[in-house]
Amino acid sequence: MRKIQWIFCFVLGFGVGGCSTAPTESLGAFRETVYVEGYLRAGSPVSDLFVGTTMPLSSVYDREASALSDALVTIEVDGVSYELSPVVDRPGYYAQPDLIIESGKTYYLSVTTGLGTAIAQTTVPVAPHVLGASTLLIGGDAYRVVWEGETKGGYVTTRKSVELLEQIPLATQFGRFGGGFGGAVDTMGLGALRDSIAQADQWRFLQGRSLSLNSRQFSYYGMYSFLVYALDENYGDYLISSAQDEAALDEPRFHVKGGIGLFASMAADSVVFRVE
Amino acid sequence: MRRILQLFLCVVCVAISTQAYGQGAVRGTVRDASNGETLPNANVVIDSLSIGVATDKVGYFVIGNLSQGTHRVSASYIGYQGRSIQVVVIQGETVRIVIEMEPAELMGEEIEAIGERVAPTEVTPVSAFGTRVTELARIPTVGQPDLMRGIQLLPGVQTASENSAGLYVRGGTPGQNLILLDDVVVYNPNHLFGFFSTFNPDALKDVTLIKGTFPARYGDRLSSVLDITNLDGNRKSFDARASMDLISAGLTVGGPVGERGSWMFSGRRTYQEVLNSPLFDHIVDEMFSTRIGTIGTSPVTGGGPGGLRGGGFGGRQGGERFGQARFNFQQQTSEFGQDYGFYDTNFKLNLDVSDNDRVSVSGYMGNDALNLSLPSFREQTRDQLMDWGNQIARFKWLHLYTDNLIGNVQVSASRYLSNFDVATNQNETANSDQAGQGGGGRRGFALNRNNELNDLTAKLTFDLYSGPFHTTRMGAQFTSYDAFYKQGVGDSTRSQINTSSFYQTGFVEHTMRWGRLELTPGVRVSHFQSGNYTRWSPRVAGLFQLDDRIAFKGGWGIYHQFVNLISIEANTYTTDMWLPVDETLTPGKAVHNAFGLMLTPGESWQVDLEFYHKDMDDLVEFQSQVRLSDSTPLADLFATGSGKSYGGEFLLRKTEGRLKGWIGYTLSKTEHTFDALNQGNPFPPKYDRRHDVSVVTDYYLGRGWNLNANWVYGTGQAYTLPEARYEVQQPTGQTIPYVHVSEKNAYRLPAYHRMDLGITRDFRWGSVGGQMVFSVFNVYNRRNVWYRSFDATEAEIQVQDVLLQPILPSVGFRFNM
Repeated sequence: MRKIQWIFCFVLGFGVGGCSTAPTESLGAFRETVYVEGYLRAGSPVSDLFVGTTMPLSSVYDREASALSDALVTIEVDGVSYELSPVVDRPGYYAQPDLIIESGKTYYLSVTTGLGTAIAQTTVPVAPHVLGASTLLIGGDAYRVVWEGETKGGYVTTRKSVELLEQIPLATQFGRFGGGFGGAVDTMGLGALRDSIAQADQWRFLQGRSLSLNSRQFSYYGMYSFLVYALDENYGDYLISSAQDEAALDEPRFHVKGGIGLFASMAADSVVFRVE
Repeated sequence: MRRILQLFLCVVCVAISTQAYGQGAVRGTVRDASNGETLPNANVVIDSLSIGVATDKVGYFVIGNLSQGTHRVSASYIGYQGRSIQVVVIQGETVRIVIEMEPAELMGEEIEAIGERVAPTEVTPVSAFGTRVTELARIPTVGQPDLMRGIQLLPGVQTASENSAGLYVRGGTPGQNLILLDDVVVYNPNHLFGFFSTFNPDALKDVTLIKGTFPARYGDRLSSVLDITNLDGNRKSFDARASMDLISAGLTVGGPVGERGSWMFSGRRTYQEVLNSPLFDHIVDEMFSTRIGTIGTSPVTGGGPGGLRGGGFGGRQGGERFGQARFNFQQQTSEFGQDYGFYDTNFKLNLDVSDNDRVSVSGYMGNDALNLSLPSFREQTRDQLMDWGNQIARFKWLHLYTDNLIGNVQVSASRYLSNFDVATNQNETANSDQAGQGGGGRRGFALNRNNELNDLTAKLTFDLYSGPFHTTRMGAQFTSYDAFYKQGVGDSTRSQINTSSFYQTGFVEHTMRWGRLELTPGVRVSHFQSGNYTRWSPRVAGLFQLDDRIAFKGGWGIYHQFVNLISIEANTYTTDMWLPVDETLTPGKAVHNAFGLMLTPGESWQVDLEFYHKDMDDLVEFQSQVRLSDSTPLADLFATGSGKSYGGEFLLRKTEGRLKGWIGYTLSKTEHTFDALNQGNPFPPKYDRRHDVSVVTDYYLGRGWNLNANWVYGTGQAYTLPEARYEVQQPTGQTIPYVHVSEKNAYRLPAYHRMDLGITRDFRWGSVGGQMVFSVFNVYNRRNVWYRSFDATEAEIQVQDVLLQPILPSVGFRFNM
């Protein structure tokens, strides 16, 4: 009996000591970090490189409020350094019209702010070569667009309407049962396949060199251009890892030292085809 | 491959040619006297010579090089009364004996251990812990006895949480453990997302956990081996055992096959659809409500399926991103309907077809099924169907070529399967609205995901007992892996992985005893076809017995792993997936070091102190943020990196007497370094625990009453804190919000501790015996934190602690006849 009493006391002791509820800690202290965002396009000047900071969790993110317009931003290529100038009326954006981006070259970015210096580099890919596309027949077989090229980061594709004609009847698009995928469906999450006005000009990320187009992706007859962008490794890594998981909270794979963000490059080719 | 075969044949020839039996020998089997079950890992010694061996997995032993005359052979085994037999050895002949041992429980008295203080075991006891399953089954848990829950209480073994039966051994992950059931790999050891293990204690006999430096006969995993043996079945008479608790009901039957064999069948399943169990309801509701609360559901307008949080491929897609389109389910837990259940069956048939031949057929089949209906959300309902399980079949032929050479041929198949289907349905209003927007008559959205791994294995092994001081084991194995993964939307396939690969491996190990020193060197060589990887894995373990009470031990080994488990650290709600390596993904590698000492301060007391260090390379961690396409290389799904784990473990164990149990303490540190994670800086994985304490007691009160209690304490789980916001703007103008976070897993949840109590009463009504079990889980109702969640639905991020189980009483019954 005495043993039972001891056991009871032992349990009771733990009970009293253990009934506390774990406290909920506050969020981590705000850490202001430089955020850089620049997309270099082969054949184009540097027109919209953004420099800003992270914002406190307690605030709603506002790009203008986060912008840093007094940063020293330089891009170096072939041993020549170009200083970027702030863009008028676009806080945080920097440009250098004299710097035309070329495929195959490596560009080094340096951003100096009150928070320190962030650096990054990108090697601009060579544009892919899209093999012919001509006509996609609504109701016919899927049409496969193929392209050639080498890239470290994969590709993104997009379509733009060149000349839209009449709307394709829903019954023609989906058959007599209707239904389908419920509209915008995008494997990679960076854009819809359907060409509704709201979803036009969005992107699809691929690591292969072909894409099938079928009737369900179009709402209008007409002329379209199909663009393929070859991506550098930085942008490819970001797109692969762009979904932030709420549990692990791992951020996308960035390649900016001294800060976060994207300094990426791409080169494009396109063809025009008709939907009829 | 040719080199492997040549090496193997060479070793066989050398080993056979060196066997010498100029003197007499004793060989035999150690069995349970009550039912004829063979006893693996029993100690058998020749008293006068103080030499001994351990029985192998089928309870077999050979002791050779005995001088002519009378010898006393003694056997001991935890939980059994010691037994001695006198034998007369004649030069040049072998005496065959069967030692039958009475279970100690039948005696109700303290048993005196017989044999050497630090007795030999089948595995050189570095980092090893072996016991009968019945010992672990007594430990109070939630609802029903659970083998894995008992294993989790050993030093060096950590858990992700009490909601998981996964084993994190010395800094390794559950996917790095080799779990064997009757020598066949079990790919899915869990029910209910890890809450229960698939191993039915009623069907099992023996379990050995080797936490590191495991011998060459085992491969290929980076962390540990859990070797489980099914019951053979009663060789003496028909018996039946029935069990019922608040989770499941089971029946185990067995009996003799003539005089030369036995059979056993065991089945267990949940019965919620027949009899409502409030405990079952509570557990399942808690599991689903907390986990579903974090599932991202992306409405159709977002452009893609939500997928599970970290739930494998694809993850969150389309418009659903951090803080957007989240389904705050925690406020609606009462509104969802679930239909969940599991079952598992084990069977075994043994037949001694001759004095030298034994065949056995065994199998396992287990499955979980879930049908979940989620409430209306944005004019949608969602139905989710999941099922997953493992099926195993094995044929084994054991042949005694000579008294000292045993051959085993085994053919087995292990199949892991998981299916996930989710479909959303929109109501009529939503349909018409969206159709009006040019969306096109949407009827909802369907996502399906299927994974299957088929493992077909043929294995040939030889055990050669060259006298009492030398044992050679060698073997070859051929495995065909066939893995399939598919993710689809509606009727179309979005991504698909089909991989087939052959795996060949061979090993040789030799245990030698020179006086007080026992040494087991060995080597394993493996070739994996996919990627053309050949890996050598040398290993060695040793034991030096200073005197009767003190022994030093140490081990070292290299380990590789060719098949990866895709599961996310802790608290995720998904089925596991297995994928073999390929050309793009290098097999993992680990180097184990361990040393320590064993003390036997008194009868039935054991002290085990061990230090370990483990280096790991080419570790893989599934990247929850990766989006899969049909052309995504396997390597892109994983972050690869390295890791190290080191620490010390202390175990004080009492194996006999009224009070049995152990006190375990682990001081450890685990660190990972992945280029793609935490900016390439080292970080602790979530399951890293600095301190881990467990106290397990089983006290016999007398008159059939037993009191069981265990208490655990662990450093809080590591986690990552959000610190800031930012947005990435795509070249298209589309923006994606993110949170900027602290160093990965830089913070710790509050320390975890819990106490469980159980009381059992053994009874007998005529020919029917039984046991009544009443247990209370978390007896002082400590509300430990499972994980800390961050909800960015609102402008200000909400922090919430998701708590683990409160106090949970349960009751169970067991009958045997």
